[in-house]
Amino acid sequence: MLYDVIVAGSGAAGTWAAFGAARLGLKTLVVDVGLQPKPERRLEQNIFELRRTDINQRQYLIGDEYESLHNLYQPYLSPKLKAPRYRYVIAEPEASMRIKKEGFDALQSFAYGGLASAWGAGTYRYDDDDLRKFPFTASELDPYYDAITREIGITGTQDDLQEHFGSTAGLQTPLKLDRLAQRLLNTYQRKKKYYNARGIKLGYPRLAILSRALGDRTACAYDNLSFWQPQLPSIYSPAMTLDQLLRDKKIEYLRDHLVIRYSESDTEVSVETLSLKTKTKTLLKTRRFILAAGALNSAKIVLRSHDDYQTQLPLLENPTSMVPLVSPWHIGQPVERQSHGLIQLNLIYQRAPGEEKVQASIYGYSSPLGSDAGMNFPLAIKAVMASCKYVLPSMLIVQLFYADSQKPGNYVQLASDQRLVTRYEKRKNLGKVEGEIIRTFLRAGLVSHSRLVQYPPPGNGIHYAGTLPMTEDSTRPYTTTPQGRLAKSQKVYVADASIFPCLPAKNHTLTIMANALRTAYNVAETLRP
Amino acid sequence: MTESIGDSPSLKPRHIQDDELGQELQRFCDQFAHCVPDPELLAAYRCANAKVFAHAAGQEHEEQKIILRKALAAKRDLEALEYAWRLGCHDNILTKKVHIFMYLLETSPDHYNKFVNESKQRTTAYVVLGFQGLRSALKLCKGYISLISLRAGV
Repeated sequence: MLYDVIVAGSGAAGTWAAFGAARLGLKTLVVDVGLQPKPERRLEQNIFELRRTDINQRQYLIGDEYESLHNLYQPYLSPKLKAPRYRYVIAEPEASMRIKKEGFDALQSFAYGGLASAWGAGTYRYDDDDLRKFPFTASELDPYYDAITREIGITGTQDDLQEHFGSTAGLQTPLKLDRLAQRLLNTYQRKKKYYNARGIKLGYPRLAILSRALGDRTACAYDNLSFWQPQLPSIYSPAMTLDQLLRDKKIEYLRDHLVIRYSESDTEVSVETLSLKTKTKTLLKTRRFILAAGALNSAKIVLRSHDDYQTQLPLLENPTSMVPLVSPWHIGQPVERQSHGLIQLNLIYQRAPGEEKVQASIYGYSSPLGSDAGMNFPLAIKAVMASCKYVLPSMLIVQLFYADSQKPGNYVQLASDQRLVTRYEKRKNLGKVEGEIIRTFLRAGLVSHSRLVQYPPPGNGIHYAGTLPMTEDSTRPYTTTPQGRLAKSQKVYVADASIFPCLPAKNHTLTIMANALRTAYNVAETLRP
Repeated sequence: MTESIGDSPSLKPRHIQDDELGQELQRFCDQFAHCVPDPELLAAYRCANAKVFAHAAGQEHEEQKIILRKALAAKRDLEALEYAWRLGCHDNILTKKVHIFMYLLETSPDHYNKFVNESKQRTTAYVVLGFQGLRSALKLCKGYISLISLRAGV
């Protein structure tokens, strides 16, 4: 059978490339490993009610295989990915041939819906400043951003961050803030001149979490379950769009198959896949092939297809740091029972116009276990336990993301054993912005110290990109054209973050979706009779 | 799980006293949670240790194991020892074991109130944290002395 389009991967990019291709009437197949969560009793109550009463809570808080204890040796892994019911998102089938990590804690997902099955739901539009190295402008992406906003439901509002986050058209009203975040926002609004003079702007996040029902999805229940229960109806995941496409019979889906390589002829692309169940290889035929397996996997497939063990492809990631801020006034306040548990506020730091922007997500500490953070308090154990009880509800975590651009020391390469090697040099000179934030927020009654700031090693930001960057020059190998076509190829396209020539300091998932949709439209153009 | 009714060995379940992990758990329960470890907690502690230390090896790990054994045998103050050890090197066997214990304790409804505050208690919080801060300073001194003496000869 000859498909119009085969899409490799079902994450944010694969799903929206398939969505676009299906909408345009193309015969579309998604090839995917498609790991799913185990069928288990869904958690329905508030997490604190469960923790207070459920004698079986270790099953989903620690895990039957003690998954959560990864924190003891992987302290920088996102608390969500550490949770037992989310472990499927980063589980790696043996046949996937694990990445050789050299200075880069690379994560990859083979889950149905990809890494966005466990994301923080931050959805930010890139502006022209973010896209200055891309061969297209923000206005070209806007129709795709708008379409996706309508489909998935995004909350947000007009505030000081609108100039960075883009149009508010079609947004749902923001989610209710935790009391500490609300207090910080109130303080900011009262003393805006002071914060703005120090390069700080604060506002509501753009989140793909519903504040009111959309279709058959219900609004956020503020039950603190987001860290423990996958597939909550209020939090968007690409798996929801895939389910819809499959229910409507708009696409075909081949599960348990890993794309190994492809080859191209004048008329078609042959895609070689490996069945993880039968260990047999299959050759699929398509008129256009869209790579959407993630920046690392797509690079691996392309290098394997060319049997290239020499070329080093660039690797981008948002370096990240975490600043804990404690409000002494809130010490001893009750825990925040009614919370969605994800990003409360966003912050943009830009010392002067033209200087590098840093974006931060501000979280409360309500959903994760106290034991995740407690051992970082420089106190004896009984004091640590008292701090978990009395201090954590008065704490905000500011997670900073820095922009990244191509550097010679940061790359991926195919090793002779067919595994991908990732190398990344740790970014130096972090700490200035963190110090500035600590000093500035002291004015809001939030206390911290530079020694408490954590700098996760490279790879833990999880926003990977740039392995097959987009350029205007279509003669350079291992780059992509502005339409998303792989250079020196006629029928292979790339729709994921591989195409990013630089990585702005923003969660890139919404832009991945928008560009994947755009790529699908570009592919459809080439298939018109 | 029931509250502690004393430190008398005769009151502790026999199977818990019999092995090394059982002894550790017993000491942790006595010192950090004032409770008696039940079989379910012991089973969970055993499995968690097996998982976390599955690939632990090397000279440093063996030395740390010896220090921990000596500390248990000499009935040293484990809270003080762990604190001093953690400040010097976070990646040590005792801190990991105490961390496992914390996780298991926190995920038991019996100990919910040790980790979660559901009412406004600002004064209590300040008094408790102030006391624990001072206590931590004393524990640190005691822990350093303990750690130095235990390391001698290892």
